Amino acid sequence: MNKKDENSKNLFEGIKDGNPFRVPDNYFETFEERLNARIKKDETYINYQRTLLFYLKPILASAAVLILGLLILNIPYSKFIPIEKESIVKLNSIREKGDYEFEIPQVLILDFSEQQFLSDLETIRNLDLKFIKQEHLVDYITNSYSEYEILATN
Amino acid sequence: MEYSEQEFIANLKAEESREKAFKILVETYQQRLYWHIRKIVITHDDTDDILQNVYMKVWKNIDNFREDSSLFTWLFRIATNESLSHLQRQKKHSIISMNEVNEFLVESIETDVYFEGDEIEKKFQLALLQLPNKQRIVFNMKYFDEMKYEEISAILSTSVGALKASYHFAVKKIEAFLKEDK
Repeated sequence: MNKKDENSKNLFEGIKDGNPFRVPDNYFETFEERLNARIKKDETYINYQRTLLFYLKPILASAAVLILGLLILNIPYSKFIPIEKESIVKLNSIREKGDYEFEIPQVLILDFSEQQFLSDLETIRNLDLKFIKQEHLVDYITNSYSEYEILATN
Repeated sequence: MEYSEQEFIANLKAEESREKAFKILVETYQQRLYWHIRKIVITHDDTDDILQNVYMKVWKNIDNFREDSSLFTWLFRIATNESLSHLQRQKKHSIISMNEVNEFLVESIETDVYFEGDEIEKKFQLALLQLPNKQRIVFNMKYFDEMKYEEISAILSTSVGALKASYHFAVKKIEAFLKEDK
């Protein structure tokens, strides 16, 4: 330590001019090898990410365009994703009138419309209930409306 | 190195010669960088991790190296910043203050199997750990690595005047600590 600053000359008497720290055996000899292994691992991971992105990009872009299109055209997503209807309906007031087969109007309702629902109810009221089986009515209503929708009209 | 620095940097940037030039870079600076980092973060494991990070950064960013400074300065700047960030992360990951982080470093010295200094050297290292980290780095670079203030200034982006003052205060603090502890 012969080039030390003036202030530190003979400053720390008794302290060896050596390095008190040491490294594990062969540390510097093997450092390059370990570094190269880490660089390769890192590059493999980056390549994997790039490949994944390469394949995902067109899919993500198509999905984005589709969603954008739907938003612009104002098409509800329920057209594509079926909504499970609740099947809990209380129909105590409907009495079984007979065992005759009856063809229930097959109105496919995907989007709830209060007007449509009331119109269906009116149709049912006008039917001769003696020709309708109770379970057919229950099936029809539970398949066409959710509990929420039925409650909403009351 | 057989080439001029500019040629060497060109080799590092060119894809066909990069691996060979990088190997030379690792061999040339690994020990100096290791000891520079080790004196800051104290433990061998952290030093090893940081040293690898430094070379990884160089490998990834060599194309962005603008050659405003020498390669040596750039490497030491990355190493210093990585080491300080490491200490900062240690602080963030605990609720303890920076002084207590230094207490953690003191503990590391006392328990480190890779520290083989005698009692006087241990006391000296403990005195260094009383300094704020940046001041400790300045002291290490000047006292142990015998670097010129101009070189330190380029690495730490601090004026020579500020470095001289920092080193002066560091010396005074260490002296006071050692006298007090006698």
